[in-house]
Amino acid sequence: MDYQFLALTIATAIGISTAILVAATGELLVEKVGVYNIALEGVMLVGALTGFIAGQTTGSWVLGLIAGGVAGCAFAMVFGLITVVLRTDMIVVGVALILVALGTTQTIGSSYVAVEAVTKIPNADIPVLSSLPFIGTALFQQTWVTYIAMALPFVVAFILFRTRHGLNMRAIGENPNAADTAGLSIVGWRLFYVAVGGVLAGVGGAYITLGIVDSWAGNVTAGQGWIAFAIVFFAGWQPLWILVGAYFFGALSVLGDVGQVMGWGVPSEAFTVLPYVGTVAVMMLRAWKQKSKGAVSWPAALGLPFYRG
Amino acid sequence: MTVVTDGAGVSLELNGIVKRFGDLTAVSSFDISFAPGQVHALLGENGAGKSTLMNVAAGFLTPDVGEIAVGGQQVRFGSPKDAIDAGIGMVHQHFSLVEQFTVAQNLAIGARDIGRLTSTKELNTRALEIGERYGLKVSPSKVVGSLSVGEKQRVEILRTLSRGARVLILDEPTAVLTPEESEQLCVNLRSMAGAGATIIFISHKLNEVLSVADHVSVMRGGALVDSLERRECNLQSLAKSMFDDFGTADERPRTQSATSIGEEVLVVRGIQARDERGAVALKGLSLSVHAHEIVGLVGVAGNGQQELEQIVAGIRKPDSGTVSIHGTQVGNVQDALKAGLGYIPEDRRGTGLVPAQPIWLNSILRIYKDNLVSKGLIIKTGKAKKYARDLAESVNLSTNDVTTLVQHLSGGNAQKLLAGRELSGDKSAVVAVNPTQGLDVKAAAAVRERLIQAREDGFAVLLISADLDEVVLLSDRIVVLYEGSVVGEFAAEDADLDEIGRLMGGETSNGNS
Repeated sequence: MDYQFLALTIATAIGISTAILVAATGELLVEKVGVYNIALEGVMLVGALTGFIAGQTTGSWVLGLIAGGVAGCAFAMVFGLITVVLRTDMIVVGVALILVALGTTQTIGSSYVAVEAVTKIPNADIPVLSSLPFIGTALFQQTWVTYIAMALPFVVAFILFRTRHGLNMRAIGENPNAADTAGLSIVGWRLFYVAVGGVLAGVGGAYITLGIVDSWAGNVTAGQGWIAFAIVFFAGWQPLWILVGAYFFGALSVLGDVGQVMGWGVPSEAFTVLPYVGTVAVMMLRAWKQKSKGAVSWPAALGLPFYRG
Repeated sequence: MTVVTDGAGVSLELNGIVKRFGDLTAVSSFDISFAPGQVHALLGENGAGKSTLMNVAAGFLTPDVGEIAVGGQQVRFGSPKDAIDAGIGMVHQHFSLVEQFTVAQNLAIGARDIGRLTSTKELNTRALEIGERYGLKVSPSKVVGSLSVGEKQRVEILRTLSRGARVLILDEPTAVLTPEESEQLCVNLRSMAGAGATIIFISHKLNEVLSVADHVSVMRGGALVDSLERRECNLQSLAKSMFDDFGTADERPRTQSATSIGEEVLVVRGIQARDERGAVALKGLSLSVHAHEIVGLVGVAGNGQQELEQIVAGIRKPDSGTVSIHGTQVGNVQDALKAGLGYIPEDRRGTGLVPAQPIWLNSILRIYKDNLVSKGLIIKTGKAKKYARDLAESVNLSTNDVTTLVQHLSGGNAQKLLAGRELSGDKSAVVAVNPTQGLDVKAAAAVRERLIQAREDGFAVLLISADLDEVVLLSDRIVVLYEGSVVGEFAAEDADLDEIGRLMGGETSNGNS
């Protein structure tokens, strides 16, 4: 494998991880305030279709991404209202919403299947850096969205661990009663972050149709929402590990293509399954590690509806 | 809504508050007021309506009828935040603290007087200042999860005060504390009242109320039955107000077994064990309990009681050492049960009973495989319910409808059911942990009576309790636990409370053991 090929492979892995990275970072925020939006896959799908349609209609990928974010936000709010306000079971509602999203987007999107995107998110080479040997090709010839996605976990880490806002967020996820008696509105904060998570998942979805596959097909997300959901666990709710997790899974999915090019003689289906097997393996490793450390790292109130008192 | 400006005390008046839950009227219309600079005790049995009334005052519940006035101004609370903005804060038995946060971080939740960007140094300095301002010592950088219950309570009180509470309501604050911690708390409350704060102290412990309060109000069945200055009341008068059918429950002299002690039943040998964090919790502990004997194990919480309890019950594995009952070594729950061990855990509604299930299912939880109530995989519902009815009757449960869900039973009735279950059948030993914690005097007496009965029946009873008075009252032998070892052992008649207290605190014995 020559250097240029390796650099391109890394670039591809980073590029196609963008959607997962953005969605997982959003989900981390949601989980930090004690809610898990298990409907992530559905939110991404809604964002993917809305973003694609907006792109086709307006001819602008920026408007496409924005539309994806708005649609994702709206769809996530349905989940938020049902689970946070009405305090129903997050798993049941989440899975139901995924099925709703799958069916609805397939129906609405049927006329867009196999239509090529009129607008694509362009690569933006960073001056100077992009002409560095190897690193330039691997890292600095991406889209703006990819660069922002890379920075996102750092921003989130700063907010969570260095600001008053983040302290309050974590308090809500760890012990909403403590936050409630301190005058914070649990329902308000949780809804807000379900919305933020929805925006990010929607943008992530739109990035798939406008930046990666450049077209729409039914179930175009193909489990990326689930992987993003799993990465939050894999990352142990640490923002910077989200970055590691997303790129790790991006690398796994690129391996299939690399294998074919290099003639490794492994069926490509074996590689398609890798990210999912990888998810399970990593989760098990994490569980073992936690068992030996005896520490629980998830927000203590994760998944528990809030009742006062 | 009034926001009270800084200054000393502020009065709280509750006028004609009514609060109903379904058919039950928890608080029924009366007027009560709390003056600044005083510790005002609200005394009553469990279910008398004390906590409900105070939850209304602190904004956790909205009253059906009635008015609240703070410093003479009418107020209306929609949430605890409204109440605290008006200067009223409540500290519950279950603290609202983030275990994973440091003390300083806990004090900073929701705070407005810190920068948008937080620095550990800033938060720690602020926590120290808060502690100094209210005269309570805390360690800002310690993680709350690692603190003792008493320390956590101090943080919770500081959190409430630092948010501007000038009326501080404490719901049975000493129920979770060791005797030393309780004493310290009372000293702190007295000095806060001295500085002008309004302290409301909910309790069902007469002695404690008499020692700390300036003013005592007694509630019974949702009504106010008495409101007196401290000098106007004594133990007898308060007890009479508290219980309409006051008997001898509280003043019973030490009990002594009628039968002499029998052979060794429950034997613990050289138990070494670690706690969840991997620290050594038990250091080769040995003890034995005989038939017709109650052994009381005392110690400050966190000195290995929990580990010992769980190892004896078979739900935790020791690193080394053995537990045997009648010579049969036991290593898991099934073994322990078969060998005849009953287990009354502290967490009666979580570990002992299944709250969302009816009485009859809870009654047969430990014997569901017995031919008495099942055949193969099938539970004989009729027989099981009959069994449960007999059990309910034998322990004087408030209801004989065994389809009632356990979560609808009062704490006392739940405990009676649990104790009855664990002491029935073919058993010869029992471990009881804080069996009367949180129960009112009557229910506590019934549970103690049951344990005494078990001793008469030949049981070996291991009583692990934080209530020193209870241990002295019931035990034939008292064993003191400190840092995972037995540091003292007393026959009941030689028990010297001061000596036991010193040993619990880690001082070495004066040769009495």
